[in-house]
Amino acid sequence: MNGSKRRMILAAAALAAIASGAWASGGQDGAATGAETKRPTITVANYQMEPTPEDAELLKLYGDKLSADYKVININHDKYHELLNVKLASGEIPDLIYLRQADTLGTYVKQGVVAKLTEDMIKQNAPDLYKMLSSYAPGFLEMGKINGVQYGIPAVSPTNIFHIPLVYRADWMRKVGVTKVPETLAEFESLMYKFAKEDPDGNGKNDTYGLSRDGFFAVFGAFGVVPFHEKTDYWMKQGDKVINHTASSNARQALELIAKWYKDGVIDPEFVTGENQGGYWAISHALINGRIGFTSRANYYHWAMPGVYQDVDAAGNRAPNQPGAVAKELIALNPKAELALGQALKGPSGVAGIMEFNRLMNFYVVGKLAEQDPAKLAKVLQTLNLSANPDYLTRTSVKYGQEGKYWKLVDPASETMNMIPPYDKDQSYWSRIGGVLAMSGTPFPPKAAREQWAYSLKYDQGGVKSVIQVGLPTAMKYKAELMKIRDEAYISIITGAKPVSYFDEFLQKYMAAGGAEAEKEATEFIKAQM
Amino acid sequence: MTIARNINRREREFGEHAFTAINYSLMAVLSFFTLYPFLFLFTSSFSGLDASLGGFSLWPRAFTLDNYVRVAANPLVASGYWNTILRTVLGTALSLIATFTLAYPLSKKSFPLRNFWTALVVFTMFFSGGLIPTYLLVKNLRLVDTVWSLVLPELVSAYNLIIVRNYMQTIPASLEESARIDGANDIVILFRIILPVCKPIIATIALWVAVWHWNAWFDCMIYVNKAGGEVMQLVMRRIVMLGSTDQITQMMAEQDIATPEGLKAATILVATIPILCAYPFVQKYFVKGVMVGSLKG
Repeated sequence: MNGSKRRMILAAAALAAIASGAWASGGQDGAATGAETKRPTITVANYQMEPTPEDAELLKLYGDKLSADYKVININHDKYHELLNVKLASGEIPDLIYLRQADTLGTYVKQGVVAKLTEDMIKQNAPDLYKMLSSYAPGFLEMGKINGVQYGIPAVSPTNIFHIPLVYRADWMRKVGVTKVPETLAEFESLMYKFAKEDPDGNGKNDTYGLSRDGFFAVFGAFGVVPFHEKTDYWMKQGDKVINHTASSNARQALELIAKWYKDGVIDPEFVTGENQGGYWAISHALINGRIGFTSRANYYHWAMPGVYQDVDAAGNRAPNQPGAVAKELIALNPKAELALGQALKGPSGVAGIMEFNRLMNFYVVGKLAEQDPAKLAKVLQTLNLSANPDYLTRTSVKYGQEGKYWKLVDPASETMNMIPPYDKDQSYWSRIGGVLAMSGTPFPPKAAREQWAYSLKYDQGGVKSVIQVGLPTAMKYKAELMKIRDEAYISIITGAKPVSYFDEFLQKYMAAGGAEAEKEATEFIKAQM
Repeated sequence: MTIARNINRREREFGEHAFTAINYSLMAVLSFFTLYPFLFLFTSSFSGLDASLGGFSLWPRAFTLDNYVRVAANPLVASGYWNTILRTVLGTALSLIATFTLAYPLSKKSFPLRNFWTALVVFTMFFSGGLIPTYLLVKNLRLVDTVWSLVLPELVSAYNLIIVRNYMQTIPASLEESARIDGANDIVILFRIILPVCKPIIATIALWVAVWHWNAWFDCMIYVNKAGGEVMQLVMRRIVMLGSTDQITQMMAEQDIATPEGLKAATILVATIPILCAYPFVQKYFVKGVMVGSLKG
């Protein structure tokens, strides 16, 4: 079919023969099948690290389990939404669609590409999923509703129950004579001044600072807010209103303190461009290069130094843990560096707090075309249900393939798995074998040794969360402009270009530029939920 | 008199030397700026330690070939290379044929409605169908997931076409007339008379088209979705971009990985060096081709 057309167009091209031979091997025979049996063909667009071939082994496994044929619509993750939009505009609507940004649910619903669901449908066809969400992430299913109709199925992070870490250079602390890791903002302040003034790296030069942009999270957190996140808005209830943390008086108090520290030379003047200079997102280059002594960047597990907890190795024996991704860089750069992970700081109100990443990661939705075919829609939900199986072995094998072939369960009690070589070095193999059909973001309580360590640090306590984790339409509309106004004002106040009293002027500007409208929308959204 | 002349000459010589010295040193600085990114990649690609671990260095830190071994072991690299070579060879060959056979009649003053056809071509330089309509067209022609989706949409570039047409217009008409007297027809004239004269411009256009094909990835990302269909640039992008997204788009801890800088550098070099090697061989035609082909209406 394809061949004859090609030959017509390009009979003259000598290379045509080689080319069509090489490229036709993939062939699209999917169109011919499907009519003969009642097996529906379910098309899936999900996060993947490399394209999934049509004959991937997990596609068959799912097909046998649920008697359906699966076809993965390979979409490059890097430009996921752009490419998805092209497909949707051309009428190709996958039956199961992963929305990489939770914010976009409303947009896709408005475009009419998302099928309506009901709670009963989910209960019936995806009982494990329903049970998992109601027991481990209550309230998150509600976030997938728009105007009272269920559209999205939330993917909830299992590890974001832990707040972001407070990472100190322990060797610097010893150098400046501080033994106790700060618990209050006052103790923190005194340590930061010492980091900046008392030459903690011992090179005789005044070239160190206390903290930089990510460290602000700890300060703002002590005041109970997350007003200065690069991309995400945090919302809080205040009286009968819901307000953005950015516009709170708590943020103002914290800014006043940070501005004072800046004036005293405690803040890295390069905070404006951030602590990460490209490459792996979690690295704080400012910290690993010894400019600053404290950061709150990334997650606890990135900063795990070797031996802070006992892990299970490939043979099933207890062994000191391997260093986390950023800790590894730090050690390679400076073998003498030591880290201490501290608690969230107690602020003036006496309550400790620091930002917790949103637990809502993204949504899965069913494509509009499946809405007319209840049997197919049911199968799409059953597909997701497999990933929420209460049995660890089952739910892991629908994503990572057969146990014993690709991975090994080394410790059932802590649900610790180890990859079998060569898959330990081949992080994207699960995409190749069809693990793309599985859902990511299943909030089963983490049991592994690393997470036990996080519990022991009490990182599940004191997280400052947002009362709204989805992008509401008005907030989305003004977001870019509002963040620009915020950054300009916050940076000017911190660097002293504007006095702290400028905050009032900023608030007026912020509210007029859409902040007031977004606030009203947020308030109504929360009221409607209650 | 002679003394004055000697001084003059000496001054002139000094001026020339000074100019040459400044010229060369400027060129050296410029060349260094151009070469440095490559040099940096080159040293990082042989470095065992992560290259984020320290700034400038001309020598690899902890020399290793490990990065290249890992690039070679990646199955995506082999298929990516094959796809890139295929699209480059096929695309360049077809583009040259289409461009030259279209430029030739348009270069003839006697060609009916010449200005109309030229205007049609020029129109595409300023207006395009846009992403989604183009995707629909390619999809409905059933080109999706084939190499043709990478070759046909960009088969003839209007810009290249006009350059070739202008070049052909500079060829004296007497050359063709003499061939016609000898009994040659249009096809023979095109292939036996015109094309040999056009060598410089052929080399130039071939290089442009080949480099474009070698570097192109966006079309492949849109049109080719099957496994093993990615071109080298996309594979490279995947490897280099891994881990640069942050927590918002990261979903789970197990995807918490990043490509080491050395491996990135090795991948980039593997993807870039082959096309870089094409330049010196076409250099001699290149300058001539670009000069002569400039737009003359």
